[in-house]
Amino acid sequence: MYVQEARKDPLYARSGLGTDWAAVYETSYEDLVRFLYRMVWEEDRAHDLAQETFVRALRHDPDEPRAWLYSVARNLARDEARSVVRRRRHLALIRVEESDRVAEDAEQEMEREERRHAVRVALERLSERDREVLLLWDAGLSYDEIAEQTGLARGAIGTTLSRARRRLVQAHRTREDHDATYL
Amino acid sequence: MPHISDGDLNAWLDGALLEGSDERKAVRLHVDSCTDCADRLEEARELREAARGILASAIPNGTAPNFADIQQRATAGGADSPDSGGGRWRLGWLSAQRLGWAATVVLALGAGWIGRAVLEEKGWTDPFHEGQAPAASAVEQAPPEAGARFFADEGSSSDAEVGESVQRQDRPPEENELARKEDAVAGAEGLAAELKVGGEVDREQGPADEAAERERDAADTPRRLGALAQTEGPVEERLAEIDGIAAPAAEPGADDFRSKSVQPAGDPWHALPGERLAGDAVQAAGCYRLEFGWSPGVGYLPGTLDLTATEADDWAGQSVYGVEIPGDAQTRLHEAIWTAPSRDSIWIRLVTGDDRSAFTVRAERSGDDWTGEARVLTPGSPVSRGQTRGAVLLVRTLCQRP
Repeated sequence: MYVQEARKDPLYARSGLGTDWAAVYETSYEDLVRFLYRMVWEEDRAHDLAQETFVRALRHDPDEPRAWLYSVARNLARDEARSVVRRRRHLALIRVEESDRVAEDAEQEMEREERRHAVRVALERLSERDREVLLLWDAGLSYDEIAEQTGLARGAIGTTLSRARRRLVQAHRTREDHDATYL
Repeated sequence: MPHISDGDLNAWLDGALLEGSDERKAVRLHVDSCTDCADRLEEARELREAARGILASAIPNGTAPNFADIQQRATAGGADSPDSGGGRWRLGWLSAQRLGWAATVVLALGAGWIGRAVLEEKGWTDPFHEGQAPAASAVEQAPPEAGARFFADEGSSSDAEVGESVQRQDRPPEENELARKEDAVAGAEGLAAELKVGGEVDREQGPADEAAERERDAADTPRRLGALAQTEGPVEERLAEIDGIAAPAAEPGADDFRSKSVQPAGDPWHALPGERLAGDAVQAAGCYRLEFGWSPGVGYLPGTLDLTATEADDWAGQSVYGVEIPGDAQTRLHEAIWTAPSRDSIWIRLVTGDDRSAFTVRAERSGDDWTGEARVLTPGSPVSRGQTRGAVLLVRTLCQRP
């Protein structure tokens, strides 16, 4: 038997008093951005999509906040990924953090970008389903929630995660070996 | 007893087997007595941690905005019932289509580019925002209120359409496709109004930008004065050196002008193309929004770039045409020309008046728009490197000539 989550915290079903969205936001915004970032691979876009998700959530006030958040976020990210023609955005959406980024040390930034790129390449070696399950797990979702999001049987989550982790690690190591060869 | 499956081992590691349950006890007991499964458990644990570590190296920057801001955005658009349907679904930021991006094509930044490098030590020179990378200068030019107003504008129009994200999942694919096409049409239809909005934003940038510049200068004054006291020579030259600004080159004569344009030193990529069309070239004439993906971000040219069908004075007889840029940017340019090596390719070069940095665009036709590459050639760095190259997009837009 799998764990049935004790749904006491604000991420789960709301009480009769309604969802404490401030708490939900505080506890899950970063996870959501991280999840989105690994699907769209643009920081600004990930933040925008996360904020858009919360804006919608506040308007809809769904009964199951976290499930709803990730469901909408996945759709937004999928739409993004499916766009053959991707759109760059208006100047007003270029965030102040860009200027912070410029000020960072160039070498550190380059190394960080290389690490991110390696992760991206490794993730792209996974099937879409495996990747999604892995990212949902990393975002902190339970097996129950992952099953609900993906439509997989709950009992298949462990197997899927096992395969996804192994492939991710192998792909990442392969790339590291490749890079080391050409350095 | 059969061995434990990989799925159950991972579920056990993830705490997904209920504490005290038979399954959990069975896994524990089996692993304690089976060295194979114990080894597999250990391997699964290592893979789990390794996967966690790999993913942790791809963490996005940035912090969460205040929740109050999110709340404000949620309430700004008025009523939005989850049950309301009928309107088109659209992302908030996709309504930027109404700001003229309906037909925008991707800036195909190479993967290694995105956010990868920052300014070169000396900094590259952007003809529109000298001494700054496009992203940084775009930020500087965008007053905070512009962003807020942008959101407010889009909120008023798109919030009524926002509630359909969940419904959209259930739509047939062809219906979604239809909605996308409708969005594109709506974006194109609103172009005139959008340009007006863009103009307002641009006009408002001036004072805010100047104020920010004054503030930066004031903050930097002690450092500059200190450095000035330790050097000798003409003040202007010393300040230029302290500020890392190249001394202006001497005004070139006509021959210099032409020779540089034909074959800039160092990087032949900027050289004028040998093949040039005459009459056909003007087919590409018109106004465009210029947008370029640049490390570490995205830049843009405020206003429009007008590729005129008028031959540039200095290039008479060579099938080279003039480029007009409204506003201050034009006055800062020493050279602004474009030409067409073929029907489906154009070539634009802008040279700054200050240090003769060349900003060259080579683009291929993509419908009414053009996509390609832009490079910058500066006197201090006569070869375009990674930090001075980027994808470029020219989106055809309406001309608003005086």
